[in-house]
Amino acid sequence: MRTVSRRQALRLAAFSGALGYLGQMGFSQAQAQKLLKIIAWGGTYGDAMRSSWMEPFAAAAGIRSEIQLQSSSMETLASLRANRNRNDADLWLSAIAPTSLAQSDGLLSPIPVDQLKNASQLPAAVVNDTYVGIWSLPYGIIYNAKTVPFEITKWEDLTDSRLKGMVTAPYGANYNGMFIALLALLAGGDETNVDPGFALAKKMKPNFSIFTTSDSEQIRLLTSGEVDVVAFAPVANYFAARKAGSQFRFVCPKPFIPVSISNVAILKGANVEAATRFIDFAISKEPQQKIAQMLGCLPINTMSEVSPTMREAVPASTEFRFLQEGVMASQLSGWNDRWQREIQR
Amino acid sequence: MIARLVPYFLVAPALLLIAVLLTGLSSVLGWSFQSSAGDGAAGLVQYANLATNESYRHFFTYSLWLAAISTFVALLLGFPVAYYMEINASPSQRKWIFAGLLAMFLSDYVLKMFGLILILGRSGLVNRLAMWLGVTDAPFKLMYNEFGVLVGLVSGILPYMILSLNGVIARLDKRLHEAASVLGAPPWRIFLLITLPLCVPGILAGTMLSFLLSLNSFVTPMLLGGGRVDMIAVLIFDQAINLANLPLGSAAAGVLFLISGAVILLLNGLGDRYQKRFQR
Repeated sequence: MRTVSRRQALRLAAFSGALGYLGQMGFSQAQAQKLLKIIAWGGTYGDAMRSSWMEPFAAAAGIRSEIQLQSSSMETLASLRANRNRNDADLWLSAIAPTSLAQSDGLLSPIPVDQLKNASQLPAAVVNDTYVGIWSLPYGIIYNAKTVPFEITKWEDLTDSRLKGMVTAPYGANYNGMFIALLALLAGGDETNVDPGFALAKKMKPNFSIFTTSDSEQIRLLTSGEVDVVAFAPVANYFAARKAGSQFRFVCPKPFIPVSISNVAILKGANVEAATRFIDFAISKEPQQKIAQMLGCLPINTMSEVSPTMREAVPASTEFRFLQEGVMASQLSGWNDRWQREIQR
Repeated sequence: MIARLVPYFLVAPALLLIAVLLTGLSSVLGWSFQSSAGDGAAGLVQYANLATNESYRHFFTYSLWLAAISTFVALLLGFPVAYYMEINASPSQRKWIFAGLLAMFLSDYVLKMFGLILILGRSGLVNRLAMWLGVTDAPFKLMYNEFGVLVGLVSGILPYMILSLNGVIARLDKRLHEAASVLGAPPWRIFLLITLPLCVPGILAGTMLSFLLSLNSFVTPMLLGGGRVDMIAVLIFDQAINLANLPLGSAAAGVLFLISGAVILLLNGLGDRYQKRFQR
């Protein structure tokens, strides 16, 4: 029988250990290639993404994905800036303003748009190598028809003195400053000149009682009777409020309503090939239709059908306005300070 | 040998935790010296921004004001309770008061604030009662303003104030009161010249704890302020999270840290001076 010296035994053990470690590393890397990490919102958004996109995509492409939760896309931007080069996620669901800021900070990878087979079914404005639109959200006014003494039909109704102390408005530059930009447009300004918007907001100021920081806070305040009017809300909040009572109305006020585009971007250091395949799947007709119905938003794919509930809340005749969110992004901080100083206090 | 190492093993986990926390804190402070885009060193630019921008200064002065008022109110409300608990209450009454304080400690802070909304909100208990009794036609504005935040702050710090005072009052030498009484001093004089001076260490400890808790408060202004009550923690959250401006948020956190340190030093200094004077 052949004997093995102590030195040989140690060498054998070290070799086996190294072999095992390398095998494990290879297995982990192969697994990682098949696992996409997506930074996205949780709650109803996460649930809708899993059943509309992630599970069908895993079944179709054999690539699993998981969500890394974010409470807001600006929070993720702060985290990406703080952990530059230490990010391990592939995709980021966000709004145009944070995506634009991330792009200028060099935190994103270019999207190979030519590899997106379904891109031609999307409006050209929402497909570029920085981001691809995934759904759109129209914003309007929600009010309690039982307690508001008149029918709200236009944005200027928010200045009506009969609404004194009954209205909640966004806190600071919440919703990426869209309310401030909207007021500017209504008063004759634009995204680069918001002075007229602030003048209009001052007329509304006596009616503002609370400033909210989130969708859930808006819904809670409205359904608990703390406020009667939400000055600026995504239509999804109306669907949530309706579950608490039929007295809530959603108005697409005249002359137009703003629409925000939620988008997806590929992060620096991502698995670009798998990420691109995921994006292509997410923007295709059926997954778009499904997620739009679940979230109460408009599908970005022009071939997808809009649900009857959504059509009832946002009639086809409604005029949409796409704000220049990229232009607004760099001014958010200044708007936020000014809004707090001149309107909230 | 092992017996000698045991104390080190016991303190090591806590020291490690403190080291991790300090590393995190120093990392935050490091960010405060960066430019707003986080792409390079910017010296004291963020601190200068905080000092020169009236809007940011307001967050600090207003927070200090609210913390001072809420601490004073908690002292006014807490002292009689702590005094009663130790001097007049029967053992069973003391147990009940203590159980109430314990319940305030154990309940979740966010839930406590929501509880206040249910009581003081527009459609809350107080307003419904006032309107039912015909006291008012329209609901009182008791929440989502400065008053609402003050109520929230006071309810949050009151148990800390009571327990800080309670410890000192429990150690009062009752023979001093009896002696003063025998010599003909009226109760108010006994309180002002004997009880109150002996309680100063407890008042200072309670004041320090309550003031710092109020000053650093985030949940209360967020839930009860309605976006109208500007406190420092809200500014930090707003800048670091909502606007992704980590450097300015970090600078605000750094200034809050310095203010808190200054308050601790000031009140400790006052306590030391008082004790020296008292011991003479």
